[in-house]
Amino acid sequence: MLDANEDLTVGEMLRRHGISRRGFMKYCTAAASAMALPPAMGPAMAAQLINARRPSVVYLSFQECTGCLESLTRSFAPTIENLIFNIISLDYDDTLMAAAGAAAEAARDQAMEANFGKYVLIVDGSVPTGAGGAYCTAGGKSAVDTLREAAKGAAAIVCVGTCAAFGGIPFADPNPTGAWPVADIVGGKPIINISGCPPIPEVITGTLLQFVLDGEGSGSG
Amino acid sequence: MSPSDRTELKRALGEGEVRVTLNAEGISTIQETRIPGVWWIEHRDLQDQLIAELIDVNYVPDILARASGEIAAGARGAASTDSNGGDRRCRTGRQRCWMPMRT
Repeated sequence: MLDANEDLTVGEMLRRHGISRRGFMKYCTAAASAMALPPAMGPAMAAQLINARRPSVVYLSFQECTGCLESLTRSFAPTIENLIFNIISLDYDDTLMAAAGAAAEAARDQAMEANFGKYVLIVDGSVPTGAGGAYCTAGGKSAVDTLREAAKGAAAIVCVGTCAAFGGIPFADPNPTGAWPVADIVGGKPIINISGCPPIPEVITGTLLQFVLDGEGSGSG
Repeated sequence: MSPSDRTELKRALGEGEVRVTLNAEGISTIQETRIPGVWWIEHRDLQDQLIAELIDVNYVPDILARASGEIAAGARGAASTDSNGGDRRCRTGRQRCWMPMRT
């Protein structure tokens, strides 16, 4: 995870982590089932994904409780859902990454520049716009400015959780921070809202899988 | 499908001759039913939670078959472990070869 400079295929990444082809086929079968696709799609998905390039993913967290990210990552032992981290290249996530401060911000900027027009932008949390965006800032930059900048080069934006998708609790009256859902601030590209508090992890991973399968992640779509 | 429908379907299909246990990111059981070529497959994760259950109509479920590249690599790997080298085709990595077991 967070190995931004490695341009490996999904298959190469799986082998590196000791995950067998059968284990991956099983994961794809489960993912196809969660996406209400026919079971026969599992092996077909696996065959296509094995040779796919892993898409760069930039994950931004704003006004949220981190429950959405924990839905995806937390477990007492590795789960099959965690295999998604072999399929994407999670280049920036300030909650998970070891780097902090200026180094972290630089990693994000580098990933966005290197993959401009191709990366997936995941957002959890609503975006506070009150007081000039002062309610949520990192590295001297407000959440709303960070979102607008990151959205420019994104191939698609995935809003994870009710806060990012529809405003959630911060958006509730009297909404003291002037919070808005992501789609009310940026547009002009596909925005996928995955609601839930937290969302179902299989739905998050299924959405990302669909992006890779469409070829967007390899820059061909 | 309701739990009772599932139970009834499983009972109606019954169990055939072949049962395979697969250990890959958790245990899977692959059971041929009484109807030849109809397989009942259960995939479980590392916490033994059922993550997918399906009926596959196939000669052999795809998840069991090895890819051709893996067979060639396997033949070479097996030949390298035996000074006798087994079937000559094993050493060249050709598909399908035999290695006699010595007693």
